Amino acid sequence: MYSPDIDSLLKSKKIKVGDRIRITTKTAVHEGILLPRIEMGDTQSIVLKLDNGYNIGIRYDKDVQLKRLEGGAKLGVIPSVHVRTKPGLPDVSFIATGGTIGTHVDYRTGAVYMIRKPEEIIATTPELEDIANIKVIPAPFTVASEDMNHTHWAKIAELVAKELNKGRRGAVVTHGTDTLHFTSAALSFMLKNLSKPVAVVGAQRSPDRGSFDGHMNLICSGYFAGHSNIGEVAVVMHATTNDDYCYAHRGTKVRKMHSSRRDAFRSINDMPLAKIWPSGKIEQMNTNVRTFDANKKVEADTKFEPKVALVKSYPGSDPEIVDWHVDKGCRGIIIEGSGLGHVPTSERDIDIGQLQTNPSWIPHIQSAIEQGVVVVITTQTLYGRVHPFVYRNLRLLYKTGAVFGEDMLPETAYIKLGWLLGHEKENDFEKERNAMQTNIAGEISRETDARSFLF
Amino acid sequence: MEEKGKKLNFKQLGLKAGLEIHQQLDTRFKLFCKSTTAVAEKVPLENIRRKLHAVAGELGKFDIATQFESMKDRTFAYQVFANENCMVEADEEPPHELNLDALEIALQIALLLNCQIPDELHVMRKTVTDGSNTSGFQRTILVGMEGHLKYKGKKIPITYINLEEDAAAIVGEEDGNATYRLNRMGVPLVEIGTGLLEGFTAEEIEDIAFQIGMICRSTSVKRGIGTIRQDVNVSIRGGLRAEIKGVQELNLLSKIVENEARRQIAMTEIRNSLKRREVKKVTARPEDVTLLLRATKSKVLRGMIDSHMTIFGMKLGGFAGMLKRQISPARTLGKDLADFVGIFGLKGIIHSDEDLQKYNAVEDFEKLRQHFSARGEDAIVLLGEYKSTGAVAEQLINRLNQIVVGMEKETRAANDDGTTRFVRPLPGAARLYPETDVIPMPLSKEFVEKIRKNLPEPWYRKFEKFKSQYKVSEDLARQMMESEKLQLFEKIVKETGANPTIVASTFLSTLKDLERREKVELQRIAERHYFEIFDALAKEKILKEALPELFKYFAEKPGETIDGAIEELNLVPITVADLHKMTKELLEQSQSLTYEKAVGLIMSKVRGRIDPQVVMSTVKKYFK
Repeated sequence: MYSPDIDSLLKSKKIKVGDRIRITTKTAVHEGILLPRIEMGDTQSIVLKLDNGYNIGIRYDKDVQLKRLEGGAKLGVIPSVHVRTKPGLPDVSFIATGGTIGTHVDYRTGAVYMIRKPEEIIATTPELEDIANIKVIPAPFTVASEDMNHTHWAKIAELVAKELNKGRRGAVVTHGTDTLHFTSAALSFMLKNLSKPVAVVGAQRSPDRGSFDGHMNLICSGYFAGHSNIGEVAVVMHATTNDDYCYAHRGTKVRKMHSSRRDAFRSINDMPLAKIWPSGKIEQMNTNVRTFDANKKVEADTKFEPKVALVKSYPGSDPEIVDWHVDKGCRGIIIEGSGLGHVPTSERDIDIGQLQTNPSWIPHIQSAIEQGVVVVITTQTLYGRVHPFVYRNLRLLYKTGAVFGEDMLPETAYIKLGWLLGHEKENDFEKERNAMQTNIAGEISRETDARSFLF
Repeated sequence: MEEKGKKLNFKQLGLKAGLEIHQQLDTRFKLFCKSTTAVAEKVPLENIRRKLHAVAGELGKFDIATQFESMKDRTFAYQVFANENCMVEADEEPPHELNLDALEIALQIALLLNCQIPDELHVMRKTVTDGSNTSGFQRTILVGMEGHLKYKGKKIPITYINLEEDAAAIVGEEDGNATYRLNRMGVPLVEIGTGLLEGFTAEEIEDIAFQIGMICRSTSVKRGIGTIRQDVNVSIRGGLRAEIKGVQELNLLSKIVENEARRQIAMTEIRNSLKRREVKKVTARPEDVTLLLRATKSKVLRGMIDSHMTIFGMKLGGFAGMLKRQISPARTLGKDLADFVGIFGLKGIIHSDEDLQKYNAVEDFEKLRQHFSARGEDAIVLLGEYKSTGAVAEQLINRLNQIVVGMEKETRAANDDGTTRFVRPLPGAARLYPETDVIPMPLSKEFVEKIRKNLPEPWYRKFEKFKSQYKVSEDLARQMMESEKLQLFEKIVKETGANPTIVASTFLSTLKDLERREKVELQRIAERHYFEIFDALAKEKILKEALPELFKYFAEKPGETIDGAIEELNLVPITVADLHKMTKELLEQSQSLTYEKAVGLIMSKVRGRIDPQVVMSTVKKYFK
């Protein structure tokens, strides 16, 4: 992204990015490879890779002379492998969707490319070939996880179902980490009667560096999908900051809890399903697990109602956000309340002097429900269960008809409600209410393992 | 054979050397985060365990050095220290913004060395897979190029100056698994590279390194052991090249250059001897000889078998006698090869040029000679591997082939005795790519000009001034200017008016002796104590003889005051008249005392309160 000045000069001199050029300024002569530049910094500076490997920017002005010395090598070539198969290993399907784990940095330009073929991801972790017979599926799409929605989840679910019903032992889905837990939750609901392992896996460090964490995550995913006795969707990522072992977290009970750490994914209100070492050892950690069954068929039930919102209440929040969503035709709203599920409720007309009252959410929720919208209460503490009766304000909220979503994560509740409503043309309030409080895909635990807090 | 101890003629040898000097900068924070650069904590909070693996380099090629490192399949442990580490060094968080104080110092050094400054700085990642960086790379920025330093009328080219993050410091290594201290990682560092220095002696190369170091010390840089490190590239005519890493003691540099030149001569001689025996290529095939050796009486071999290692044997045609050739002081080719396999976590090799009696392996080697149909001029080498693939044996053969054909390009590390050991092949060039987490930083002309106008005084001028201002000896001046206590010294002399020579020698010898011999914990002594002690000295409340006692006292009782200390230790100076009185009293009490005994008794009462010379001359008067 050079300035128009530089752009037209390069054009007139027939110089392309990647060419070897000589730049002569008033005080010095530099030779190197012309690089593209990112949108930041001085767009009036020409970026040159010197022969010692360093990049520098040289400010362009009328005294600067450019000369093309020779053409450059093709940029953006990504290393790839031809995946080998070995007899005796289980068949595992490999589906790549994008994200950090699927990026490639061009070492010369620093440009970040999305990989185009899953083989390019496998090239970072050739060990996978010794763990399973990797069945590479052409990437359905290459999207950063923040840009995904229900159509992407449906596509992945359909692919996984198709693959597993072909007789594959399991599947690995590579994915950007930001919304990886939305996808894992969506797959958990959409893959009906699943009895085989489906690993959803990402990376917090990019594959260009020696410390690429996706390396161990991929290896452990391979073992989970190819060798575990678990028949569920799980997020397989680093368990700690060390490169020691991974956890497989239940797809509906997991959340990204850190913006950058390797062990960002934590099981919430549940124990991880298993601990997986890169040596292949698997230790089951949770007794409440669906076991592997090679013979069952899985069904991709991907109907989804996108008109569901996830809203957070907070001190000073404006409850009209609820009305806005209702006006937009929203059929369901998940509210992230505080603590046991509170929303601002100041309904009593008491004299509080200088202090202001928060506008109450209660009438707005009431009105939404009266218009047929399903409102589900979850907690922004993430850990713990909501409760409708402990305090008067909770009871007032309960009386509106809001559904208390037990120990479901807000994101999981959002996916679940979208999936439930996707199956109904009209909201059937009682049906939805019951379904939201009934466990379908491991999203609600009847009892909470005391060890699970901050595990 | 090259004569030992004979002086080398470097000109005739065609000695070429390149220096790379690493100097830590004295900033409060690290280069890309707000951890402190103090590196003072001793007890780690925790250890992080990580692995690094090879990544494809430019155009999909794996860098040889990188691949070599990853073959080792090592686990690295990183010690994390309070305040001195954060998530950035742990490779758990992207870098924060560049430390501008560090940038300013680096630019000062670049300008003092007459460098060109780029118009825009680009942070790069330099691939490092020996584990010394948690990320697998080091962040580095080219801040100066095409500079020079004048030396003996010649222009020494300064090719580059990089501002970069220091790496983690190694604590130890066992079976290829290394432990590093993470607190040093990220400390701002400048890396200064010279062009190829030709026509200089080893001593002159050391002197050039010293001059560059002193230019650095004109600015705000860290002082003391480990804060400056030299790498030196050495080659002599004949095509070998070695980069020697991590020379911490500058005065070892010339010895290292000389030893390296000698090593290269010896390696060339070995190559020529092999040529005469018509060895063109090492064609050995490593064979699993574990079964063959099952009846061994050798403890070492038995140990390998018992710990389920696979013993690989190979015949090296024409190598008999070569493995015991001396390549540098106290180091044979065999020892160098043992170091080589040590990199893969193995203990070493056993070969037929060794004293096999020592291993109780004479019979085993006879068996092996028969097995391999070895002739008299063939050597036999054994090594035990943890895996049965023979991968290390293959690497050893590659290494031997490099020796035979003379393509030896390698990175070596400096030993404390001035010799070097093999570390890895010399890395290729494809090791740098952009740090995508930090955006390019344009430098305005005004910013650079402002730094140029306010450059600190160069060291050699400061040195002259230092000598005349403080009236200290040349040697003391040089030592003091290299000392990490320089700033404290200047402040003390200025504020207390204490004698500069006494203050300097206190820092340079008295305190060091106390620390070494009497294990006094100097870190417990605060700046306040130094000022109080030297103030008392300047005001003649105490004599210089009292200094050691006072430092010892404050190291134990840092809460006390100077007046309290003088009183408690009874350090108030006494007069010569007092001394006469004491001597008289003593001699009246016990008349049979010898002179020596009397001096001893008096000294025990007046230590630190009067010059011992005066005690001796005074007491002497009573023994005439």
